[in-house]
Amino acid sequence: MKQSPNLQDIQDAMKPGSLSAEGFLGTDDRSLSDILQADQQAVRRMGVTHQAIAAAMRRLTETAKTGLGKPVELDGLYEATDDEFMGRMPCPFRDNFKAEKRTTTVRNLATGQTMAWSDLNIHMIEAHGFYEGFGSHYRLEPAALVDFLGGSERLRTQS
Amino acid sequence: MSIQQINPLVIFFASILTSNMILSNFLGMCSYLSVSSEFKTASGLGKAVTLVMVFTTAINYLVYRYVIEPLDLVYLQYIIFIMVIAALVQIIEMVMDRFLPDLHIKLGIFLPLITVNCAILGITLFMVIRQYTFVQSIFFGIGSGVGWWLAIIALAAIREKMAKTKLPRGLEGPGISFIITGIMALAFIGFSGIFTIS
Amino acid sequence: MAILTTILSVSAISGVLALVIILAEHFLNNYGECEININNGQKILKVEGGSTLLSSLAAQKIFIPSACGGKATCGLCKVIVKSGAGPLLPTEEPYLNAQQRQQGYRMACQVKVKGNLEIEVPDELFNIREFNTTIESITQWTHDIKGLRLKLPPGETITFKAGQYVNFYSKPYAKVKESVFRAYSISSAPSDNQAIELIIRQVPEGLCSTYVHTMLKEGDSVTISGPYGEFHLHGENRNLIMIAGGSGLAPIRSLVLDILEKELDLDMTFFFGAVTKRDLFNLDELNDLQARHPNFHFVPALSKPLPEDNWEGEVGLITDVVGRHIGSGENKEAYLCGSPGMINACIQVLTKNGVTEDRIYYDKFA
Repeated sequence: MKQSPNLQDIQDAMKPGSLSAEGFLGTDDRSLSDILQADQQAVRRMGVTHQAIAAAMRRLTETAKTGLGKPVELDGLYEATDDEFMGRMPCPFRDNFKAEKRTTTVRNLATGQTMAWSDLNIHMIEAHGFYEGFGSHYRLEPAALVDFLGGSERLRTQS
Repeated sequence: MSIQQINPLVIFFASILTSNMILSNFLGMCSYLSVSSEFKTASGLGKAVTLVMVFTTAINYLVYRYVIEPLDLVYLQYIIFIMVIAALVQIIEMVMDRFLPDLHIKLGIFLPLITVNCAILGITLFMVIRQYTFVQSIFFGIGSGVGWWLAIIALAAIREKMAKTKLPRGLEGPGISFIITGIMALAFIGFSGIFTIS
Repeated sequence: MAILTTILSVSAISGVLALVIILAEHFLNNYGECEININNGQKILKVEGGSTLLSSLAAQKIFIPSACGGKATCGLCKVIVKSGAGPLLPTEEPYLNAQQRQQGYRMACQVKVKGNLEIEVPDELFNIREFNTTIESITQWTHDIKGLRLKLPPGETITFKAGQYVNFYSKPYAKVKESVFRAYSISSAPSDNQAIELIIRQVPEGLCSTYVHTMLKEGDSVTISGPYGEFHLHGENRNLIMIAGGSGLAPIRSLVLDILEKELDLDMTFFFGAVTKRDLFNLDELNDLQARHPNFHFVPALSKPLPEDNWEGEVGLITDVVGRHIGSGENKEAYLCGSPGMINACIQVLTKNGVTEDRIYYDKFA
């Protein structure tokens, strides 16, 4: 279904070569509004909110920041490392938000699984419910993300 | 009473209530469904459509009376009307870019898409079939535009309000829009019988 | 016969319509020659109307800072337009707060030149020039940091203050269809004015840094513009604390070389931090400078050295190392260049040790 011109412009800004080399849409050929709606429903079905997910991610990023590049432990459950770059990344949603270029890599100490996200990811999830398109390097599958962060029960009680 | 004797004001109100382009005739659904997710943009598009409708009815009337009929080109009327509509939309786009750049950016691709909005061709053809006079055509154009605008802002308002609610998966987007439009159309049937314009 | 009438009439009607459109375009889209009055007559430009203010000015060699190529995403191209701009566009709205709107700020990449304009820009913008440089050498400093030495065309020189930066323009490559530019600090001394050196780290998915790391070879040409920036020595003659990490070395190196060349009577301590040894580089030159100049102290530090690093230098977070060495912060200035996290953490340790906030300088990239 055609989307409003606003959203179409934003979708164009997400294509490779516009704001980042690979773009935010990966190999997904759905329209941006379809991607947003699908993820919105996925998150709602788990009984959590975008804000709760973003808050949990932010806790881990803030912990990682204190290490200045060295891995830091949180709650005995996770080890978070941050890698920072200079400059700022503008948010493609044209809301004048400029994210710091920081990648947080988190390892689940129990399962050994690793997940990584950028500050921009946290903002796009919190403010726009955007988890990037399928096939994108930084695509965070809401179900996998919620699971990694401790499950929907834990997220609900934390926020 | 022949059609030419109907009061233009009656035509105006009828094209909003009883002969609404979207809700009674189901014309112009394409941009109606896509641009109705945001109220402000929907309102802007509705106004642009109204503008285009007024000018196209007026000019197409003149083209029909003074070019098509005298030269016996009635079999070409569809092509000629579409060409006029396309040219007009181009010009209106240029005018908007010059004098209303903010609205021009907001509407983006949907402005040129008005050309293929079947409601525009629809009212031209209605005007020809019903053989309206020039004044009647103008009021018909304005009324159809206002009716289209009314329908799209109603849908936009409802969709904005519903944006946060939980919907069955299959109905999101076009599904629920059709259902809402259908219910509105049913409601508008209640107006029928007040006016007759054809 | 009917066919002929059909063809003739359809052609005639399309001809008439085309003519009407051409006329409309001529009258509506033709803005003619417009005058841009800059800073109350300081400079008056005559440009062809129809393009954005940003591109019209750039064509006249006045470079308004911009990082997104006119897509209304970076918000850097704000200028004061006193008259002639037309209504505020929806694309500008998120980037201008109430106070800015009242002062007349507009986004140069969104304002179209449709008539005469009166604008105000900072004076420094007039010093900025564009250079078509050639890559003289590329050094692989670490696994993700490269050093470039760019030679200016013969006869041209660049005048800048140590600590300033240039805008570096990439060319279209791979999936990136447009030229983009990024700000990189100059790491060479101002006296070396026929070339500039840059230190560039590969940012994951970065549009410009990927170009630098994957496409550039010696001999390639690169366009740069500059100099820009407020990060430079403030001439107050105080002793200096300098802290950097990774590619943040660039402006600090420029400052150090400049100060030593001019033989300023300043004491400098430079803290260069990383996690493991593989992210430190250029140690030989810095150690050499320390050996030859009693007023320059070099303190490299690792926060988590690996056993194979055989590290005998300082160990700990850069903030801890600074805290240990700083002594009293009174009457000292600090120059920081690195990631936002490092800068914030260092500001805290500096203020805690007596360096007042107005004497802490750091490069804020947009």
